[in-house]
Amino acid sequence: MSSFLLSAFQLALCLAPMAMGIFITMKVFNIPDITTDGSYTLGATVTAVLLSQQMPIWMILPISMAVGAIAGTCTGWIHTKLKIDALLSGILVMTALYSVNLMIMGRSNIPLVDIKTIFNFLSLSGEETIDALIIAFLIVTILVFLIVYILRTDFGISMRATGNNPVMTRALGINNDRIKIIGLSISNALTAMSGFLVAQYQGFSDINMGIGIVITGLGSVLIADTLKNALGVRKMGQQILLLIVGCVVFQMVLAFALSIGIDPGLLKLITAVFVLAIVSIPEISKRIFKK
Amino acid sequence: MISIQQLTKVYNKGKENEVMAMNALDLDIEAGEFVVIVGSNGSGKSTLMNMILGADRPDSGKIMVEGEDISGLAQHRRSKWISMVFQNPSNGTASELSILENFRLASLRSGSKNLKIGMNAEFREKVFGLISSLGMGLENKLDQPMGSLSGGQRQALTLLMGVIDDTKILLMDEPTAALDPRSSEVIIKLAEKINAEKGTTILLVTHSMKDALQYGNRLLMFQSGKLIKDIKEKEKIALSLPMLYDWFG
Repeated sequence: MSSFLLSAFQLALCLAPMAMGIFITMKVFNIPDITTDGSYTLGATVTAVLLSQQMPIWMILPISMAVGAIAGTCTGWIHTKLKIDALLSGILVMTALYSVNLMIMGRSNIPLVDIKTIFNFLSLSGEETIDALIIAFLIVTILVFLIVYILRTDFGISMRATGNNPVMTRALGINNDRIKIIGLSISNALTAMSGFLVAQYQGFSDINMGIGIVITGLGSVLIADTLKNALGVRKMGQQILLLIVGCVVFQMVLAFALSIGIDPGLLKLITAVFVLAIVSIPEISKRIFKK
Repeated sequence: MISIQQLTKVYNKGKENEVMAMNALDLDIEAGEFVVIVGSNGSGKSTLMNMILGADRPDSGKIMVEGEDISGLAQHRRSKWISMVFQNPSNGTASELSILENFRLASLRSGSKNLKIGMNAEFREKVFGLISSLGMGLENKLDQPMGSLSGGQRQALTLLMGVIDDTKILLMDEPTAALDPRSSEVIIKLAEKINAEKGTTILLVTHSMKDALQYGNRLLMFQSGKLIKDIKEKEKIALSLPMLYDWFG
């Protein structure tokens, strides 16, 4: 595998936590959450600032996830307590986070040059790219087990039921508002974790790095959903694994586009067209089979 | 068990289409009673159920359960006493969750939903035994999504979910309205069995005069938000269908 594809694979793994977060809001709760764009940058911003100040990496991860969780809590609170539409709540928090991120960084970009990151502080194979890949893989594997475990617990079942039938869960003693707030905070903590990983993967944090990132996550979730329906997958663990596959497929498509010489400026357009293609697969296949 | 005092609810107050849905209702229901509630559309039956459940708030008056005033409690806080079988079978269950997961949630009605995997072998066995009593063969489909079942099957399971944790009050708002006659009979007979065996207090809203006559040990009749008839055990036995239709006018 070329280093180009290895790099795309590593980026896919870095974005997998965000895809899991979007899966929780979109597929578990049926909430379209745009906070993602802001909390992703927030995770990266906090990581870059703290790494530059020589804080140990093991302390930065929980901090960046915690700030992401706070962002999600804000969206959840606005949506449930002020009864503002979920989409608008997310847009409001995302907009506010742009200024917050700028304030935290103090400028629009922080490079992470000559700083030990999570991907290069251990030498496992002797080759940096492979080490980085192994570390990303380990992190995502632990996360998959954790998320699958949570979704199978009594709390996880309550989350899934709330998204599926809020009338029922209210009658069963579940505080729907509270569980939605918790769900949004978990989701945005995961998104911030992707920001944490990507900032270290690319070696910098930029104020605009989150713009449109929700579409990347959404695309991965939709690929996973299409695969889930095609394969008839029902088990939660398999669904989460398909999310990782979705992330990898998505990043490989983008990597392929770049490898055949497509202008990087057109990447967002390609992303949008690719997501559109995935979303329209069910309708297109329905029409084809009708004929 | 349930004590209702001066319960009043007006919809669209002060507007042209103002409706007096419940007019100063006073009502006491003893533990273990099977109360059947009838009345024409808009008579206040469902309003009463929704106010007891907590889905709707009264304008004035009190609802007491076991001596505790629950009128101001949010719906999810009332679940330790009350469970509900909705008119629409889809409302009572989560279609994307498995049968077992639905029962797990129901079993936690008054407990905490923490980070514990509660669907162990013991719980599976308990649900298996409970569902076997239905005789519908659903005990072998515990891992199937609830959405794959028929309306009647889902309603029967909702009823069992309602009493899995020994809930005290079971509200049933026209639970058979969307079902075929055979499934309807299964549901009502199951409710009767639960009432007899567990002593659960049941409030059943129905449009079927036949069911109203056949089941339960107390009959309430509502009209325009007012309780117009309250017929208890012995009097109820003496009732006949023509009498009921006559009261309806």
